[in-house]
Amino acid sequence: MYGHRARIGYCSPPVVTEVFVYEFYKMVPPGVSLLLTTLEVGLEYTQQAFDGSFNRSIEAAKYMAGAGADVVVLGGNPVNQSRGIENLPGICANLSAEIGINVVASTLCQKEAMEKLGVKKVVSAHASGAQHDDRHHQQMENMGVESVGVASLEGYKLLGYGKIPTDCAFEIASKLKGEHPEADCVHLASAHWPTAHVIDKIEIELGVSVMNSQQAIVWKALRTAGVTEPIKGFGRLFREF
Amino acid sequence: MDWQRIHGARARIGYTVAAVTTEVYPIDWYRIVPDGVSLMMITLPLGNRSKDDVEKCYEISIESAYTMARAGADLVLLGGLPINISKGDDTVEGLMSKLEGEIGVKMSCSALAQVHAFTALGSKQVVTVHPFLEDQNPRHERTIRDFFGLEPVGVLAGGSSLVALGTLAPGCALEWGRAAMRAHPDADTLYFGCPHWTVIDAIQPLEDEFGISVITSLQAIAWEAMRQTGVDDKIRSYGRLLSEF
Repeated sequence: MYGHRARIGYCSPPVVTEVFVYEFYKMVPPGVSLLLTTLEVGLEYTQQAFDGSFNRSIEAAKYMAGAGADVVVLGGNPVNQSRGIENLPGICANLSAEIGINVVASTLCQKEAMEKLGVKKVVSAHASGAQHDDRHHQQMENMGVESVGVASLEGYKLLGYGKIPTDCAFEIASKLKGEHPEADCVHLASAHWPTAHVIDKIEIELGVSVMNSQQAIVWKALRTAGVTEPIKGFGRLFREF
Repeated sequence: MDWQRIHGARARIGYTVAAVTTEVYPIDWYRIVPDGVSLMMITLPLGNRSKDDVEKCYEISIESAYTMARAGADLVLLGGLPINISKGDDTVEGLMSKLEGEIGVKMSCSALAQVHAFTALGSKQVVTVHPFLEDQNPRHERTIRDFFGLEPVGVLAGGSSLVALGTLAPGCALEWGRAAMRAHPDADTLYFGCPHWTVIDAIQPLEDEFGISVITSLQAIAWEAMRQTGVDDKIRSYGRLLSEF
């Protein structure tokens, strides 16, 4: 079968999912497959969408376990953090005990990734609009790092992330690093805009570590499923840890 | 890479997935389509195919067409032939026209994609292979006869289930296809139902071995999606449909 090495379940918050799948298969080695369920986050980030998505994640995780997934990722940093970051380890552990496979949460994947990379001061680039800057700042602080800068692309909502040209991630990362030279990490927030191809470029040209939501999710899922080889092309995280 | 591009620079195809979870479909999609054609997905809560499930999925499919249009799809294709035709065989084209008018984006569906594929290939006598239990055979036979207007000459059931489709080995489709053709050598077309199991590697070998046409749900959907959005590349290795039409 396609996923003969590992089958990774991912509960994908955007109601329409496009970029994640495309970039997932650029990153993973042959023999790793993705089981995907789309959730309920659409044009706006609302508590109702977060609650609905979380509840559907739990149902999807059960289905994925029944289908033979090796690990399930509860996707969506905002969805995860809406439950309280301190509650996430317990939520994952309890669900794992119930369905009999490993469960990880996007937020915890990202937190662990930054710990591995030794991140202290982070700048976050996102695409959800400047009105979400404070939320992104707080999300990083909740993960135990100092958030020294946040910037957003403008003109895209979650449903439009597939329309973001592939050069945007590098441009906004460069701008942020220029404005906040003390940053030791660029966080490309959200797993649903094109970012995978610029991780190495940002690390090399800007002299920082990159923690990208999708990279962290896929990295943690692979390692949890026992796929441990270094992977080149997508940052230090995949090469060294 | 061209850094000014988006992943779906040539075409972005919105597709409603008639399954709670999708695994095989996107893998095979990206094996078939050329670079620059992307897949936007919404999964549907089709559990045990109960009447209620199908009804619910039908309604969500329609809602999804609006969502995909807002997300910028160039074409929306509603998946799940049983869902597409659940309001009656003669309702499909009307629904697509109505939605197209409402959302301002081209529409198609799995059922129409397969109609167009059978027509392009000139199919008349069809043997069907599906991965499910034998209790689905009458449904498949009826669909070939009544919806597609073709002669069903046989149906072979693989004996699996929706939840287990991702675990089927790639060799299953080839083995079952050969068995179906040996049992029904009068068929001019071998049809693999359901786009969520590993089938595409069996297409070309079976066409070459038996001198027939092979249609699979996913191949027909990908072909329809590309041709409707102006992606006219002739694609090799996955059957006559993609290489000649």
